[in-house]
Amino acid sequence: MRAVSSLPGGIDPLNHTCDEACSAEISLGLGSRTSFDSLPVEIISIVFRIHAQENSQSGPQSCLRLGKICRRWRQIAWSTPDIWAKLVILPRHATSRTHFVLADEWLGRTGKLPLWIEFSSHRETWKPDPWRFIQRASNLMLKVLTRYSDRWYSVTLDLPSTTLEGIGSLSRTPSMLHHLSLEAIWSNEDDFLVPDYPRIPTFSNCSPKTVNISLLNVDLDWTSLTNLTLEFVDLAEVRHILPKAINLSECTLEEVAECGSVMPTVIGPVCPELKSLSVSFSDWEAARSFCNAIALPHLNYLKFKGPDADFSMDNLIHFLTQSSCTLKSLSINESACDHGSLIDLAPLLHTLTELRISGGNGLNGTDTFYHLLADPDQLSEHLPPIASSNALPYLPNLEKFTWEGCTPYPWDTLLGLLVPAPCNEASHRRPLKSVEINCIVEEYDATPSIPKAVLRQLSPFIDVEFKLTMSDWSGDPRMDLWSASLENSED
Amino acid sequence: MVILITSDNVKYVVEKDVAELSVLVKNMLEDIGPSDEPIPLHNVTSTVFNKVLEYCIYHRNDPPPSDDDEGCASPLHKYLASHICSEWDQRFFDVDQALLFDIILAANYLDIKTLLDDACKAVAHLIQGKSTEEIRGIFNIVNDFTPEEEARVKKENVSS
Repeated sequence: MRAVSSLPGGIDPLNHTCDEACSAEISLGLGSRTSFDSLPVEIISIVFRIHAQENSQSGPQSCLRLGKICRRWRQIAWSTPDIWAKLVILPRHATSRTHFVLADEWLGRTGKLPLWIEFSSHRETWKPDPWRFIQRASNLMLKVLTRYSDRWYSVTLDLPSTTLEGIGSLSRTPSMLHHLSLEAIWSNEDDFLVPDYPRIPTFSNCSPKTVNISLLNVDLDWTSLTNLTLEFVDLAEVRHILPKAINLSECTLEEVAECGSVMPTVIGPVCPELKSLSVSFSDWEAARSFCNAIALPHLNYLKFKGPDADFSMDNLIHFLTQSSCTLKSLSINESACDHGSLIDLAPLLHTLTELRISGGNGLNGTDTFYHLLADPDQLSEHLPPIASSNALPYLPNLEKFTWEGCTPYPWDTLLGLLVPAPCNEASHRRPLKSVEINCIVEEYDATPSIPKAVLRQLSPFIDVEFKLTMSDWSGDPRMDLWSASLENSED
Repeated sequence: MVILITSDNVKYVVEKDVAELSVLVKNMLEDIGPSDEPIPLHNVTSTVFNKVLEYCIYHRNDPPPSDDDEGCASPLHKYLASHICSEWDQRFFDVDQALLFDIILAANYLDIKTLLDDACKAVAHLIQGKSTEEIRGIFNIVNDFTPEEEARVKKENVSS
């Protein structure tokens, strides 16, 4: 290890740099081996770095406290750049000139290290400060932070929209930017969700690997991107970004809206590396346009939440058909499906190993779906001709089945999921390893009960993990429905 | 087997894989080659070495700290992110301050990185959530700021 510093008499942290400290000689007090003071500077430095790392989310006070103990602690802390490489600025830390100076001093101690910066002035914390004051304070703090933009490695900015739009171009290009998270705070969000809202150009030369953007359009070099989250985004932006994101592997799109931009209907296969997509929509036009325009040929994991009403499952079927992907996991909201649509979807899911259905409500003929899962003899009369010629039962590779809904599950269909089904004059048993069913009830005295005969039939399947539970809307705690049903039947 | 002699002349016969958790010992063994010659540990007493040995025996089969260079996190950051102290570690470091600091000095001298990091973590936990005065009390530190310096330090209260 490298000896770092001794203790010159001066304390002024602004005039004290890491290099000066490193060039000084170490002085160990060998006579007092058992006190903290006897530890070499580089070891105290490690202790401080651990302390800073473990308190990185608690604001700057814990690091600054290291400099308030004594002169030696202050000098060692001030000379350890790692302590200062992460700066978390909460709204109360950006209200006065002192705070701006402290932030500048803080970052000035980081040497040449890459910087992690989180700056939030989130709405809930504004009161009673007026919007204009918050904007001004955010602008001033951001001016300090941008002085170090050439060393930005991870940047999270949750700021007023006008502040983010007002950054303009950066004089020091954030060429090492790895993670970018931007959330714009609007006095009225309707001002943003309009066609062709301009993109901010600040990061146009940056190529981060992970990006989270909410309520903002941003110009970026998308080619290196591997993880993307967009919240409250116009479909036109999704169409703009995905064809450029050639290395994207994981994507979350929340509340995609169709704001009315005129764009080509179909853009075809995009994102050759995209394996995982979670998408939800704020309106059915956006869901329909998304499904018709985009194909993701390498998709393995899909979480698809349609709009609450008026969504036709035909759109999702179209999306999966044109993607021609090998889907392994599907999570879907049953309540957004129209009549019988889960049945139509099933023939496309022969590679699926995990199916998660939420929002089960027993409406729209979905009970039929579960009966068909269980009893393939009924397939031919319900399936389209091409699908029915496939002799395998629905979801032949299913390993994990998860269902959550507000009505009792059709328990008598469970056994059919587990037993071998006739298939090409032989039989096929799904490789199910886990069945999780959670019934949501308004009140616990309305306990749904699993018929005793069903429990008796399920008992021999010791290689399958059953979690049959009920809960209220919060989801916790979950009551074991299997045990409760046995107790009820004993009564 | 490797023979190690502490500064108070206590002799230890230690299995080679355990002894080589110390980079210092490993390098010395490489330098002297096959030999029964004892290796002196000048800066470690037997009291402290007993603890060091206990740690090395318990952790002898741990995977080595990862050196991959993905991202910009420092090796220490990566180590902390991947390493959660077990109950055994917590009990091991539940010793009086003087012994804890001696373990740190021994780990530093013997160049046993995981022991050094874990012991420093134990010290960092002593100051976690403590006030300035409490920290001074824990380590018996005298406030040596001049009144002018004290005034300047107090200005750094960002939460006000």
